Amino acid sequence: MSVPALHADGVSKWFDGRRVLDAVDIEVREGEFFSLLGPSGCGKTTALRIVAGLDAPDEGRVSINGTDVTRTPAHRRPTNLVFQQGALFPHLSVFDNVAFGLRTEKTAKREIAGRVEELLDVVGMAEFAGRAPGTLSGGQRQRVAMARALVRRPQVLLLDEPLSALDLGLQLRMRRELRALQRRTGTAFVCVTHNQAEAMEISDRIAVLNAGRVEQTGTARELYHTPASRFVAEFIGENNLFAGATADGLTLPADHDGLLAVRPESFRLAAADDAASVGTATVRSAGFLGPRLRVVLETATGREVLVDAEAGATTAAVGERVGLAVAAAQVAVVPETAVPEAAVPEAGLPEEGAVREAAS
Amino acid sequence: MTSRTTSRLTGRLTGRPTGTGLGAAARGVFLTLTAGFVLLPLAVVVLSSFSADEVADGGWPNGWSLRWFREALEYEPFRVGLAYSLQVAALATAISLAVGAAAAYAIARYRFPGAALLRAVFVMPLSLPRVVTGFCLFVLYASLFPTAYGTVGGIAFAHCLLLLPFVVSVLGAALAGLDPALEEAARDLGASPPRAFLRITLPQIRPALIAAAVFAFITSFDEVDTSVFLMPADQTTLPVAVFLRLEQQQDPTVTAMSSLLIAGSLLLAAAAALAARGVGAALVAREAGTGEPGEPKETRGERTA
Ligand SMILES: Nc1ncnc2c1ncn2[C@@H]1O[C@H](COP(=O)(O)OP(=O)(O)O)[C@@H](O)[C@H]1O
Ligand SMILES: [Mg+2]
Repeated sequence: MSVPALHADGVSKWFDGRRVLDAVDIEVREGEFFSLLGPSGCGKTTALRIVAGLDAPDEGRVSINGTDVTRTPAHRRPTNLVFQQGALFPHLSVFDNVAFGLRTEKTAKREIAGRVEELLDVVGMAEFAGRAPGTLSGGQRQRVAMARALVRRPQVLLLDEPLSALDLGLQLRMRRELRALQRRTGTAFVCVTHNQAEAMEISDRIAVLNAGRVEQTGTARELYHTPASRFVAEFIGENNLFAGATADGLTLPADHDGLLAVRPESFRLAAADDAASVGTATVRSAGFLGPRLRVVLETATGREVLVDAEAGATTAAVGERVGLAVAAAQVAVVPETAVPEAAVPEAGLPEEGAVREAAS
Repeated sequence: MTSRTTSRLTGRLTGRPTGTGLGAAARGVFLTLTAGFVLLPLAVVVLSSFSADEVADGGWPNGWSLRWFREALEYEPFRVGLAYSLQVAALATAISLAVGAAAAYAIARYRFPGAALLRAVFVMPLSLPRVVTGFCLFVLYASLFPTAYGTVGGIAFAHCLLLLPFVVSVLGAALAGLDPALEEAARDLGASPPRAFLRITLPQIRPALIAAAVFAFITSFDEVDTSVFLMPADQTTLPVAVFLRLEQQQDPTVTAMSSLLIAGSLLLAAAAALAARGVGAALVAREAGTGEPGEPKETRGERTA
């Protein structure tokens, strides 16, 4: 395999006697759009700052394209960071903000003007070159921040929640723009986000971070279909988790007695006496979501089960007893890693918004 | 665009509610009285320095003359004192700004044991009467640094002790209002830490720096209470010379000197105000310089593209 664009090797970091990053291993390939996904407070920003050289790791190494930069100060690293709030220099115009990183490396004046204009053009901000950052909207500032970081042609571009300050509609559009920008520049992007839908939509690969530990690294598909831990199973999309093959009044088609996961769309509603069903449950509510019907059921033991059924073909009356069917291939075995739940800093559960968005 | 933004801004800043009737009248009277209270002593001083009378008694002059200005400018202790005071004030301002900026920066940016203590140390001399500070320093100089007595450096050092608390708190307040991420962004973009400070932080605290410098300079230039302990009577700074002369004679020479100092302070303050404004003006000029020809659109909203 070729040399990774970025390799964080066993990076740990303590703040005030608390371990914020725990032996984090990340390998980002050349030209890859890589996301670091996790709930707020799990250490994403700290990880980016360590890669950028703004914080020093207590353990581990960071290399970029095969060069160890662990001891290289921030201003000599071939990385650039798009800060969470943009961090545009308020006393400089948009043009001078973008030109800043070229002036520090003594680029010729003519070349500076050319490259700044080119980048402002790429992010669609060419006509705002003379404006002060204070007069721009949130989305415009974010674009300028990206241009400012990209103008130096970094080997790895680091982005800290670049879209989280924008309203939802703009966020959705900027996701595609961000992805297009990455393709166009061919630079490896490492994008931090707490929004799993965003990470899934735009990333080549995703590392899921929980309480300072990488729980799993893989494509969106891999994370979705074969979660490597309970946390990933719950954080990526929605899941029905069962303690074993026979649990909660159901008998799932799996010869494994550990944690199992079934996606809401993998369950099929059947007649209560259908031979193919793995158990029965009572319909508690049914919500129309357009293409799908979100049905919430309750098993005999009082366990709640989520099912997404095709809206056109399904009728589910509240109070009706129905059968639940699922194919053996759709039951995922979730390895039970000992994740210290209590150690999850600010949010132990996936973000509300993220879950809801995944459901819609 | 810029002028429109500016005018919108000033419009908001000056857009106070305009009261009517009794409240407005009461406010007018109050403000006039306050202004009179502040300006009256100045007026008396300036008036008497143009007087032809032999004694400055604060009354309306019986005749007019410029002779006291000539006397003041020819009076040797004043001439020597002026040069002396300018040197002391310049040195004290430079040292207190350099040390104060470093201290304020350290307190604002770094978490270290004793930051609170450091803050307290810088504020302490404020609560010590200046004459006590002066006497303590006199004892210190007399016993340990006899060569510092009566020198520009010795007096400037004493003034620094008085100025630092002020400088540190003014610059500290300005730094506290800055986002530390800005300097980090500069470093991320290839600027060494000192360069990041000079290019990003310094321009943003420039108004505070100028205010602190002007205040430090004027305070040092005017200082008597502490200074009087630290210099021999035959060679003193200007305010001490004024003080000593007043002990012997009360002719308007001192008021003429004071009028000159008032004029000097006003000029300094005006220059500082212009310099502080220069920050905004420079940005305006640059915007105009690099901006696209023609008016950029005033849309604050997101472009649909
Ligand atoms: N400079 C710091 N000093 C002390 N604690 C910090 C510092 N920076 C971050 N932390 C703590 O480390 C944890 C991870 O923070 P952060 O990396 O910002 O998380 P995220 O970006 O995933 O929300 C949080 O609990 C935060 O309070
Ligand atoms: Mg963060």
